[in-house]
Amino acid sequence: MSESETVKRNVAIVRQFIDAWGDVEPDAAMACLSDDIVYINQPLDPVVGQQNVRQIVAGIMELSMAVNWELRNCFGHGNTVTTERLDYWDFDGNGWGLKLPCIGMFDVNEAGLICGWRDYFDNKMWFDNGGPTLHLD
Amino acid sequence: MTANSDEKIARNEATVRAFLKGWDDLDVDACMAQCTDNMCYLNQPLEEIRGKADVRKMIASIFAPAKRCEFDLIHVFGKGNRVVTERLDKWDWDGSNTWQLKLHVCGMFELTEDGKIYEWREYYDNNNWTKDGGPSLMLV
Repeated sequence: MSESETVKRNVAIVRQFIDAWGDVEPDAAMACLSDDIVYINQPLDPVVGQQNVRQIVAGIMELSMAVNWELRNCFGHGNTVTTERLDYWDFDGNGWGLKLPCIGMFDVNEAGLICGWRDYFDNKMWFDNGGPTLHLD
Repeated sequence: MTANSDEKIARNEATVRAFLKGWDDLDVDACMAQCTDNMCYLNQPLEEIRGKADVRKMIASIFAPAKRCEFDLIHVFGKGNRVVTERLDKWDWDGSNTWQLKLHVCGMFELTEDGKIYEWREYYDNNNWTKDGGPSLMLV
């Protein structure tokens, strides 16, 4: 696979992952992630492995009535893809109560699965506007 | 991808690296030399700072209390007119030769056709910045 083909594949898996958030579909989201996925909401502690990451992802989705991650920029280089986003969240059925500016950096492994996911955003903005826990219980 | 766009991306990445080197050197002139007159600096989720004079004032006021800083570049890559930087920004405020603040941050840069930075959007946890000695990021 040429470098540009690899980047295209990597961007596609990241877009698929983001679409799964829009569908509020934990199985579809988790299918994009490797078994050894490392998920970091900066500057919080890393969450490692499918089981732990599923707990966070499913926990957030369970409390979400609707989600839409608007992609402002999405491009890749080597094994990494950047996503500059405005994440829309409806936690109570009363419309988009939270619009969170965010950059997510994704590392994609040889098999084409996301193995690293680092989101950069303001935690206070997330938690003050209804965002559920990002910690493992 | 054409050679032209590869060259443009390489040029843009070099501009962004020069801008960030200006931070390592606490040299506001070196930073501003990479920016347009109508430059916009946005620390998410704060208010944007627009125009070279105000951006210079903001950057100078961040440098004022800093003894030393070093930006570790984890990833730098571009597409079209944009360059993303994933960084660990390390700050020494008290001159003790330690890093009292280590800030995980992503910065998205937009450049003009002639290779100057006209928009800079920073994504990070603002409490992470302020609790470890970062000065105000709002113009007074």
